[in-house]
Amino acid sequence: MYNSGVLSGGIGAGGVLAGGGAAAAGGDLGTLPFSGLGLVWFVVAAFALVMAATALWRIVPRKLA
Amino acid sequence: MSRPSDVEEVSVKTQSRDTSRLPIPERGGAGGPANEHALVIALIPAHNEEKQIADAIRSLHEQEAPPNMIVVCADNCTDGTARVAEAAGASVFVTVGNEHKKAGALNQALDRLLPALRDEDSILVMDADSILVSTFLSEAQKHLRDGVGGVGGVFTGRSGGGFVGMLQRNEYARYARDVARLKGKVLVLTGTATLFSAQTLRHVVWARAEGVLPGRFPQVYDTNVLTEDNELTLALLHLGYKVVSPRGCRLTTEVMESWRDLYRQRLRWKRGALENLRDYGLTRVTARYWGRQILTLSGIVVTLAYLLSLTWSLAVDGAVHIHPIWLAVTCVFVAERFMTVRARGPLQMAIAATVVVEMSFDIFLQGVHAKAIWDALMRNERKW
Repeated sequence: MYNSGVLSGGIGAGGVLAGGGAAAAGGDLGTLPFSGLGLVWFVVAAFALVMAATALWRIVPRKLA
Repeated sequence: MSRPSDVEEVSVKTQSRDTSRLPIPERGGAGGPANEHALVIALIPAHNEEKQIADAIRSLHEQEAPPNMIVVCADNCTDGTARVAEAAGASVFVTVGNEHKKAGALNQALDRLLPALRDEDSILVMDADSILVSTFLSEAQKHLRDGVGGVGGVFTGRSGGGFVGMLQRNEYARYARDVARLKGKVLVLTGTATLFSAQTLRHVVWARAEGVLPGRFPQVYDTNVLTEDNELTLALLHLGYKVVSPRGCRLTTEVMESWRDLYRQRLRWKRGALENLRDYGLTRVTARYWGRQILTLSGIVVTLAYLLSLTWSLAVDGAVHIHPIWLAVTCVFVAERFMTVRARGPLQMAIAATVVVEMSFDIFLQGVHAKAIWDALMRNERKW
């Protein structure tokens, strides 16, 4: 059978997982030299906040087409 | 880009052997579309689809504005697809020497159909496992104007597949919700069902012949790609057309019933999308697609970083410290997960609210995406 090539350009819900995951992310895998913040934590946290913003955008009520 | 006035006169060299035309029905017949002089032809590529093809054809017969003709492209079938399709009231076109799967089968049929069609005629290309709602064609025809090159469907998943099927149905429900919220704006004209005007498809053939678009041959579908529907969408956008998927154009499609099948399907989709972008390069049209690819890649890296840091924390500290602010962020995601799957009912909302249940699917998709990137970069052999 053929499969349809849909959703191929999508972001994927994995971004949500990664974002949510930042809630518990810790450790000290690399430290930012100027702040003492964990580099990994910083990246994960920043991504989590961006994804949280998009999650909010997706649940804000909208008038449908 | 402008369309030349003599598109119809372009000589089309095809990859197929048989040059005969498919018989076109008379114009103005009963049961045709609103514009009685325009024809609507439904085209269904099918490879061993005897179990599903009758339902797909029935959904076409039951349209408020049924197509004038239904053509099933029986492509290298070893089952009773052609027999079942004929019994269901479709014309059957058997492909000849096709080695290019769905795209090749469609090209062979379109090579025969397009020369006989007028600009105002339209062609619905749909999968053999798609079942359209009765308003699909009438809604699609309403939107196929004012620079719109293709009107695609909004699909939901049919039953089956157990846990992995459920996850896909949730995914599709979220996709349908997103499309509705974006007022029909989509990134891809789905191969499950899309209506094109004959004029638009001829424009694509011309553009490929002139080297304006990628594709080795002057045909509608590029047979060198894994995701021909995604590529055709990019082709239309580069030619200046708009693409839409209105709410009224709903349909159901099958879901993959095992993780293995899903892996193959998604690997093809994701790698195909990447390779389409590589073919087109960075353009005004592809910029947002590249942006999404970068965001997806970032998601993969961040997930990996998160899982590693979590493991590190547990190994070194023996505990994970949860801060209120991040707990609040997690609550946003919980709300998003369960609200976006409302169309699937209270049970699915409750399952989605746990987040962890759907995590398996998310990690799985990210893993497939990483593999697709790797395969595309390494130009590994394609298997599908």
